[in-house]
Amino acid sequence: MDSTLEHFRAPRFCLLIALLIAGAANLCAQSNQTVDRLLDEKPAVFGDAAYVILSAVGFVSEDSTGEDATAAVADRKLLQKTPSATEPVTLGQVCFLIMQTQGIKGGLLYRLFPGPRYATRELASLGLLKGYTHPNRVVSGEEVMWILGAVLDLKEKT
Amino acid sequence: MRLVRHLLAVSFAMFIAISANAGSVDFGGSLFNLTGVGNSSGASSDPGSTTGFVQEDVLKGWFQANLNANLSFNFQLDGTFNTAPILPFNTTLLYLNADLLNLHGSFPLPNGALRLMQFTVGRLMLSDFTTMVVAHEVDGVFLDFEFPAISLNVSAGYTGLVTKGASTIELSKSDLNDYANSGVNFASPRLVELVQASLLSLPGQRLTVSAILQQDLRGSPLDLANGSAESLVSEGSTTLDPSKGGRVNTQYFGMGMSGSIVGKLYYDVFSYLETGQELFYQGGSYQNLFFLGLLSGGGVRVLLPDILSSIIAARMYYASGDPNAGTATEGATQSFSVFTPITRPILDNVFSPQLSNLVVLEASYSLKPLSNLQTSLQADVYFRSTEGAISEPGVPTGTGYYLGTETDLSVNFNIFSDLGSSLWGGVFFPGSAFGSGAGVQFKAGLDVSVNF
Repeated sequence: MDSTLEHFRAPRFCLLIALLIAGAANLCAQSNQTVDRLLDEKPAVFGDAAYVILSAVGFVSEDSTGEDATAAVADRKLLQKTPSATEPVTLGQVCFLIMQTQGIKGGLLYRLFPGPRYATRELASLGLLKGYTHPNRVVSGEEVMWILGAVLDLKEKT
Repeated sequence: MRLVRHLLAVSFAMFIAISANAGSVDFGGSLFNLTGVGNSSGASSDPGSTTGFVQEDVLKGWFQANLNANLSFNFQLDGTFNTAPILPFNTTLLYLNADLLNLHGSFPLPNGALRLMQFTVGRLMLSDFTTMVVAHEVDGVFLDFEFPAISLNVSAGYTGLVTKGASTIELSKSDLNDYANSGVNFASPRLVELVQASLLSLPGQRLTVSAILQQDLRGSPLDLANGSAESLVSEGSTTLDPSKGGRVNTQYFGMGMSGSIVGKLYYDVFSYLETGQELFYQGGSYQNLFFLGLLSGGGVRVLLPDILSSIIAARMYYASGDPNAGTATEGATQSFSVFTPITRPILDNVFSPQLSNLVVLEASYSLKPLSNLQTSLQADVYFRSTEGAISEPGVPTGTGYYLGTETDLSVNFNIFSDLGSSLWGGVFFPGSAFGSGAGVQFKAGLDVSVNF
């Protein structure tokens, strides 16, 4: 997947700016260190991905860690089974966390069977995913940031 | 049939092995239902005479495995039930078909003149740049080479292992006879090769050249499924049998251009010259006839995004004919004759003849008042290019050129991202070329589809 995601690396700064412009107020103050680490992760680990997604809606504070974000996912029962903070994150987990935290309603099958599978389908149908849209595909940190930025950008426009 | 069973067994083993070694996988399906009413059913030998209900159900399942960053395995199976298939089918259809069963590779090459190379091996869709000459599933190979200024693709495939119900090949009388024969399960056995190149260096324009070669493999060792009971007419035979024919080989050489004229006004034009060989009964025996055909088409469309995303379009097609032809299929009687595409494009809801001996003038308007609602209105005026036969029944030779006019209306509404619906209808008013007594034909229905 590296070759097809190469374009994520160059506009790293732009991605952050896009997230800020898109209204992710709580992301402004979050640790640049965590975001930098996430952007370098191939694949991304669950804790850092959860931190970025949850902090965008204020579910965790800016000084939280990946472990704290993972605990918040478990506390809020955002996933049926919460992985450890150091496990690679999958596309389905990223999409499902974003769908729930951003309040995206989804299609018929998502409403009937909410989960990573139909969350991935929903974001793919909105044109927000690139590459293979397999829910069990592990993703890089840059791709996590890309998807979150695209969702925030879309919400801003609609 | 033994070969088919072996191919299925090998495919299944490959499916299991690939799944076990895949980096990521996904699977899903879709269910499509059409419920309608009409008097123009393809299942009727006399369209327009009897009103009846139309039912079509298609269940699809698909699987994709990502083997690595460059390779993927794709499989799609569909089961179809249709009470009113388009002509030339004269029976209700129930069939299972593999739409896809292939390995796809994509290799970006950032540092060379060749930027991207792609390949697909297995069951794939082969189509020319217009989709008017060939658009059909084949078992074969597709190669794509993307240079900065040129896109070049080469493909070749065999059609004889595709399920008959999923095929629209209508090149010979044997093909037509097979569609009516319930004992035949597979499509016409043909080998199709396609070379296509697009010039990308013209700003806002795309020039494409295409060459398609098609060989009829009936009666040869490469008729792998060997499902046809058809006996071919042979060269030199002195017994005239209008219901049978011989092998039909064709070649097509095309060129097209598309792009922007000014602002949001776009155009496309294309033309294909066909060369072909078939048997023709002349002077008391069947003899080989070399013939030429011509297909031309083009259109303009203007996009008006500020007026409810409106699109206004006009199109035309010309397909050459033969004034002496008694049938559109294997009807050539002279050197410049009937254009015969390999497959049959769908032109309209009700009247949708083969693109042979035909002139079509089309105007359409569509608008999108909501993001999930789109409506379109289309009108088509049909003429035949000579007074020879066309593909549809009820049109005698020598009765004039005007075939009729059709008006179609459709409203597409996506209730959810995975649940769509379409309400559509069409009315065809037969023209003077139809025999006396031809009535108005209509068809209307509701499509519902869900992806899961």
